[in-house]
Amino acid sequence: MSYRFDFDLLEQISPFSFILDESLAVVHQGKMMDRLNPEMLIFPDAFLIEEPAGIVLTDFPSLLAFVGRPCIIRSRKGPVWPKLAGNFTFSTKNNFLVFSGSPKFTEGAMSGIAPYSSERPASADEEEKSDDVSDLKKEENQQIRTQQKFYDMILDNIPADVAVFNPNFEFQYINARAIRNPELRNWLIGRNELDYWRYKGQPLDKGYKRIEGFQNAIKDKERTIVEEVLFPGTPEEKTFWRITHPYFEGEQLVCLLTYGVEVTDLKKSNDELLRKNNELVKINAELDTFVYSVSHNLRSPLTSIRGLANLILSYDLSKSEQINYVQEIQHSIDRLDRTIMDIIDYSKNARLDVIQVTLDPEEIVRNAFQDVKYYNKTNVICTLSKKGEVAFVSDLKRINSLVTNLVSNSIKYHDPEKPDPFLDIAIDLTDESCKLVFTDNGIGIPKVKQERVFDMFYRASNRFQGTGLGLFMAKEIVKKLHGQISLDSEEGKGTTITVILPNLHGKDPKTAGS
Amino acid sequence: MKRKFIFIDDDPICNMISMQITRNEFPEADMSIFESARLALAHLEEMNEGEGGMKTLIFLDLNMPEMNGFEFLEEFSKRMDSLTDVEVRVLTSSIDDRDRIRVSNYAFVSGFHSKPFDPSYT
Repeated sequence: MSYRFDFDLLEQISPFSFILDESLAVVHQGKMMDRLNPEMLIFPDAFLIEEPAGIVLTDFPSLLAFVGRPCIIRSRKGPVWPKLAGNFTFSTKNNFLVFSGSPKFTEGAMSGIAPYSSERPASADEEEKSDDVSDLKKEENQQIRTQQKFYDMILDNIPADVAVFNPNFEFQYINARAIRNPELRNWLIGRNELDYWRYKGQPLDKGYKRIEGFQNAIKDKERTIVEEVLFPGTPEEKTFWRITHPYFEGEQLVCLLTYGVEVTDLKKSNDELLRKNNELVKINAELDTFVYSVSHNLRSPLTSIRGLANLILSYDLSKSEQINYVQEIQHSIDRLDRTIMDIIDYSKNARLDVIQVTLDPEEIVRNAFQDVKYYNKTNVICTLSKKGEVAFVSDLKRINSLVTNLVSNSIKYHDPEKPDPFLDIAIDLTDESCKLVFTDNGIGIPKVKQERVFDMFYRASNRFQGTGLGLFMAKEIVKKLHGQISLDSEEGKGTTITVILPNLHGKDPKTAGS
Repeated sequence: MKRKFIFIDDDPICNMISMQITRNEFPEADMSIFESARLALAHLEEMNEGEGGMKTLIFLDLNMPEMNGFEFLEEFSKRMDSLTDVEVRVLTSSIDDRDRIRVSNYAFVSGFHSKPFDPSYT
């Protein structure tokens, strides 16, 4: 006659009971146990012996030693689970160990149990009453174990640090990716973030910050993100997001599901995107202004041409008047062309790289004097002095353009009232820089206009139909060469423009003037 | 009523066009041309004391060196009280709406026209 356990009776007498076989697998557990710890499969995996202290469960005989002794067992899931006080009995008939106990509730205990449905399927109840209950249970356990392995595998390999906290912010579950060391992982169950950072011997502020994230998640009943930066300010800097999902049942907080993901690359590209976007907004605004200025300055001679053509077509004009108007059309076309060329120069200066060559500033100045002879009809006396005999390396085209520009300005705006108009250029060359000082006794620039003369399309004087781009270009070229340009002028007396350009001789081309 | 046209523009070609058209289309009208807004302002101050009974139309360019059209409008608005029968119309190659809006702040500005000058602007 086979021995038969009356499970129903046992459950009535002791709902907090379970039965272990020789492999320490649970062959049956009371209804209340099922609620407490539905996935309990192997007793030592699920429980610790808390009292008597210092007992480590390894096998069936080590547990046999406890038969008849009062003990307290504690769930490895942490302090929210009630401890059980009771004792083991041994059934010699089928080598079962039977634990029967009663819960010892501690503060906060039980609140973490809710998420599981404690209802077992009705068919399972039926089967338990059959004779082969232990076999069926074993098979069922085997299936559950396989499933558990499957889910553990998923959770451990998911590319995120996963942890579940109870409402007291104590760890209930940690995946292997978050904490690799299984002993530490076990130790942490029932402990909190601060314990973890204390264990790591690190400041607790990170722990406090995470707990703050939990509190916010609970308060807002919403996912919260806490950003953490590791090794800030170093090339190894890493950014993590700790994301907390509060899990509520009705108004009752059940647990906090948290996961951490590395967002370093995302953050980097996000920051980069933001920076580039700001840059683009700025460039767009500049472009807008540029387009308006340019279109205005291109339209201006065009409207003249249209007006002149209308005059010729609309009125009965003398031959000389007609010739005069056609000549004015030509002047307007020239002005339009000059403006377009200047804008192209501006664009070239902005886009093209600095080309470094050894050059002679003296020669450049002499060439410029030669170039302006055409409109230097009043014979402004041009003189040149030079100090320093070292090799000078810079960008030939840009310096040519700069010098020609400033020389022609002095010629154009000379003072016809003065008997001896002059332009004097002094070059001071050192290993570090080339200083060019342009001094003239021209008409000068009134103080109120001096700060605007370097602006695009700004014309301080009406004497010439200039494009308003001369000094603007000079400033842009000097900027490109990482130099300085300054102006000192007095209306009626003259102007001094000082340009200082770095000497790129012997400098690394990569770091110089890009 | 006799009319007077005042053109204020730093561009001599534009002025020449305006002058030629005025001479042909409105031979009876008075005409003054200023390449500098400052000089035009000084002239208007003198006019304030003397001339009367004449409707004056000022055609004003905006983009000018020294004193630009906006600066002129600002100065002009301060002296406006004593001047009757004076209207200002902007004559510009600007296509910037911001200029149009800025100019509309001055109630005495009665037009915003694109260059070149046309008899229909009067």
